[in-house]
Amino acid sequence: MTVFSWTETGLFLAATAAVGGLLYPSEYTRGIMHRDTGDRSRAVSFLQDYLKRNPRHKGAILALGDAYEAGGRPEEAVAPLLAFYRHRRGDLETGRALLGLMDRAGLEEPSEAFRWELISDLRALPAPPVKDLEAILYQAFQGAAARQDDEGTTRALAALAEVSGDAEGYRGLMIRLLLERGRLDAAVRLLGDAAKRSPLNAELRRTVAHLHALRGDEASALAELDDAARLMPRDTGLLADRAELHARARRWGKAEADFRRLVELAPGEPAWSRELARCLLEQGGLAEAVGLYEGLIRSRPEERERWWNLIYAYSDRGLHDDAARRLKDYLARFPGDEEAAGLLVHEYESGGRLDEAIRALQERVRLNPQNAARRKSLANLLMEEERLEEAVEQHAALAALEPDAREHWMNLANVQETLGRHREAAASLEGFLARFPKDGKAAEHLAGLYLHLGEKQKSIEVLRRYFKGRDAGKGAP
Amino acid sequence: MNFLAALALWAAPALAGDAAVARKILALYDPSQIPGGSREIAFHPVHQHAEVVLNHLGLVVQYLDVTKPLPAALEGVRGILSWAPALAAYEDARPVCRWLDAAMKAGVRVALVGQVGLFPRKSSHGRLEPECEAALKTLGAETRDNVRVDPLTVKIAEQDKKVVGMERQPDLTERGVIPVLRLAPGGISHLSLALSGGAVRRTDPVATTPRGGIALDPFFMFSSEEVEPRQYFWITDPFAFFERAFATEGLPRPDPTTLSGRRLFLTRIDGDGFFNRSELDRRLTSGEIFEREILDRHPDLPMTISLIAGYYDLALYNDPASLKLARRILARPTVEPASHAYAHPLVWRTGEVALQIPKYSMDPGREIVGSGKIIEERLLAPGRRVRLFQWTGDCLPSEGDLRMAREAGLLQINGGGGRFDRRHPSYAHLYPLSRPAGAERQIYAPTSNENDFTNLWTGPYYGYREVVETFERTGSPRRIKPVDLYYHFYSAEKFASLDAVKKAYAWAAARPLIPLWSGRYAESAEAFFQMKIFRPGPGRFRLEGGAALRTVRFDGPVGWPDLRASSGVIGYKREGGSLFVALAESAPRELVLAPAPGPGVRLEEADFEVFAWTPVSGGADFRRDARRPGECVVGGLAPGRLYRVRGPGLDARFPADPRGLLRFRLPPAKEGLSQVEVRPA
Repeated sequence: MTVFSWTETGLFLAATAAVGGLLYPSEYTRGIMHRDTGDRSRAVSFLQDYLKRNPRHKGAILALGDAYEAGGRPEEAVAPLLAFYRHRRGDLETGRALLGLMDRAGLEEPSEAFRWELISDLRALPAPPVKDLEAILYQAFQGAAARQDDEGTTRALAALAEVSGDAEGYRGLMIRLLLERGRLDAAVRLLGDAAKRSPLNAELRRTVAHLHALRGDEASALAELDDAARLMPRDTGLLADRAELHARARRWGKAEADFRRLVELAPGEPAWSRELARCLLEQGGLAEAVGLYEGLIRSRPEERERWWNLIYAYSDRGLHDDAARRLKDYLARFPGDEEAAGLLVHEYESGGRLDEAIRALQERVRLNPQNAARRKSLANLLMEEERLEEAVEQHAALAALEPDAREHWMNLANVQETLGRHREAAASLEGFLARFPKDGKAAEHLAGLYLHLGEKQKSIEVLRRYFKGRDAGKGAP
Repeated sequence: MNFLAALALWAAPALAGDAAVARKILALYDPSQIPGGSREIAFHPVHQHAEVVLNHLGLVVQYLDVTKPLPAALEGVRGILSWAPALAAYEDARPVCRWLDAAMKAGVRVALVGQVGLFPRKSSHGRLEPECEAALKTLGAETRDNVRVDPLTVKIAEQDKKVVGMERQPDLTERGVIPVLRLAPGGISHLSLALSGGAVRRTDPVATTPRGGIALDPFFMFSSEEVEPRQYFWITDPFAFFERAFATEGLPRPDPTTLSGRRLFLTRIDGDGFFNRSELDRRLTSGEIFEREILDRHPDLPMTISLIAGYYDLALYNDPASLKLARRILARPTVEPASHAYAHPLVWRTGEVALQIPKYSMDPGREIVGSGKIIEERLLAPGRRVRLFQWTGDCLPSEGDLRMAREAGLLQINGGGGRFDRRHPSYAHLYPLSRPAGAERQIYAPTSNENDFTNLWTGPYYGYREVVETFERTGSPRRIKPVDLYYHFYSAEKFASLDAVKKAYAWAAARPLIPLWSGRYAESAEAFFQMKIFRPGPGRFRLEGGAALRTVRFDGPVGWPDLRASSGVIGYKREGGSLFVALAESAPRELVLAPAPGPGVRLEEADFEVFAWTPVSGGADFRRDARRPGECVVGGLAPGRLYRVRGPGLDARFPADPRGLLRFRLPPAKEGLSQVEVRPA
């Protein structure tokens, strides 16, 4: 009995063969299965065969890479993946897979080379995947920075500055690095390019000018600032930098013009008035300069610095009376200022007002009687003015303050002798010789004084004492 | 007696001639500044980066919590180390400063690294409190708040390249601020920076002084989390810096990396994955593949193999074939059986375990002691013992866990480790010898196992092939670690991982190493902390205790051991600028150095541990474990002369080379400890 006809049987077999052909796993599927179940050699073999016929199948090439890795032979996956990638340049998935593979396999140099190949390809795409690109570049930057690969770091930063939203940040990092390494030319080039792209970025242009100046190229620095100031005439930073450059080169007129503009733009900023006054002073414009300084004092008299600008303006130009006048005003406000008090004495002296200088010094000595230097100045000034009685008092005080200083004793004795107070002079010299018994000149001087006083025996005794002490000091031969 | 007087009294013996050379470094820490919730000292930067260096210099680190009363007794303290994370690292720095000042005046050296740390928290004037200024002054420096810098305002005035620029050059403006440090006369600046545009004109952020040293960020160690894996680089050479700061030049350094003149080679397997099916042959377990591919191919190599005992309480794994395999592996004479716990704790602090065993919750006693007993009872031949416990999981046992192991007579190892390779290109990635936990001490694995190289076993599974880079870099130019080929049974589960392990074995086989059981290394490492060094005179050292540690090392030119004047010194070898002195197996030893090599037969090197070394009539006798073949070099012999070497299975004549070195190989024999004789022929 026949159940199925020959035709039915034939159709059934044909259908079975067709379905079997459709459902039988391809080499690709079998390759994947072997990869996942552990037979790496068969996986590689199936996938390679499959790829011979389907060389553009991305899933197969990635699976082949995995199979090689699972077999512990990642290096062998590099060539097929690279070949595949180069057929599909800019394919991010394959590129990342290859980069990861090279990194895991420790293929540092090929990995670095391929990273830049991938970056270049991604950037060349009509719509570059900015976020992914930035991530790849950021890793390149951080890796290079950690190992201090300056070339790699600057390369990555330059690329990041071009693709990232934070271009300024990355450019800043690059410039820092270049400056850190002393590569001023490269930094200037880089910043110059950036300044061309952003001509209204005043900070950037100031930095360019600053770097030109650091390289000793003042002309370029000025050209940069001139151009920037032309575009941004109200930018105080640009004007200040240019004024400073002019001032440094003693081009006072040009500096003055810039500082005048700065005073107009920012009248509340004392630095500009001060600098303008400096320029004016250098050009002989004392009156206007003084006016500016006085204005500064009026606005904030509690700031000492403002007073000193004016005082020195007078003093440096020999206007001692004016200097002294303003110093007295200053001391009335800041009575304990030693420097001002000292300068006041100097101004009085320099202006020939010695009595006032002495008074000022006497006041300073009164305030600090233990200050020997100050007392010495007073004593000298008193001697100069031949006010010897008062000078004696100061020399005596000095000898008491600094008994080991020979000059005080000798000055005291000399002034006393000049005043005809021989007995007091002799007493002073006795005090001196008690400290310095080997001083022959003092002994001779004292002996002469005693002779003058008619006390010959004392005179002889002084000399005997002196010679005895001197011979004792020589010791036995 | 007041605090300072007590401090001075206790510190004084450290300076006296007959006291032990002080080896202890007190590392200050504030628990609140340790990353991680557990406040575990293992995460402190001193432990993670600096202690390995200090250990290499022969120093022992003890951690000191500054929030508790600081000790008046400083006996045996050589120095104090502060690695502060911030300018103002302490709630109130004044007591710390007073203590530091008194310690320095009592002769203890101080090193401040990282940040100064001693600034007051509630101040913005950037100045130290008077007590801290005084302490800094005693140290030989003055400091102020950091200053901001840019590339146009700072440059290097002087750089001592022996100390600064080790793994990375100083980058002055990378962080935007630099510390201000002014040295007192007598200090040595290793990095001097010139500044412009501000009140400060010069700073010396890396310096050593007669009382210690200072190495401040960003010139001490570089760290970047932006790169995966996290990168560290030493800018200041920590070896050179700490050697100067703690004045360790010329001292012998107990060295557990070396035995019989050769670098140690440990190979150790953790029990994880023993029962896993291997992709090399789905019919076989990883244990079976391991036996076939590793054990059978290295029949003479000492290996330490641990198993997880809890499996043998589970019916699924308790089949006769598995038991037979485990017994067969552990029965090999070259295998040191060890325990890898009972249920494999993953987090020792919380009790989380990897192996779920019905009705069992983590019990440290069963994990540490009970597991070894199970292995002994069910897997080892009668009388054979488990002497070593291999920590599991996070490898952070508590003080109690460690005490339990010690009281049970167990050696212990694991945790720590570290890598030093292209991806981790710094000594800062290496862990120290041990981790302190209260009064106990955990011995660390010298280097990381394959789990670390395979991203916690997620791939790439061939990652462990890079371990040879770590072996190379930790061997030269400094031998800072033994070779530690350390992995799990699951490495036999995959082609890639097994291939990586085989590559590492091939690397080790091609090098002159001394293969040893890990337990022996653990003994040496323990002994590192026990050894006391006395210096009875110039060039003369007495080494007491720590008998299991059989090498001391000198770095730099110190002369040569005078073998006849020394006792307990059996040989020496110069390698890579260091002198490795081989010691006898018992303490005390007396080491005398001479300016030139003197007479005396000595051990140059051997790939086995030498016992009972005895120089005899122009030659020497010694004993060794003869169960594996051996290589040996004896020195101090007459150049060109023939020598007769006799031992189990060998009676042959060999000529000494022109340097008086005699090289010979010893065949394996059935005997254990056997006598070898070297005599003029």
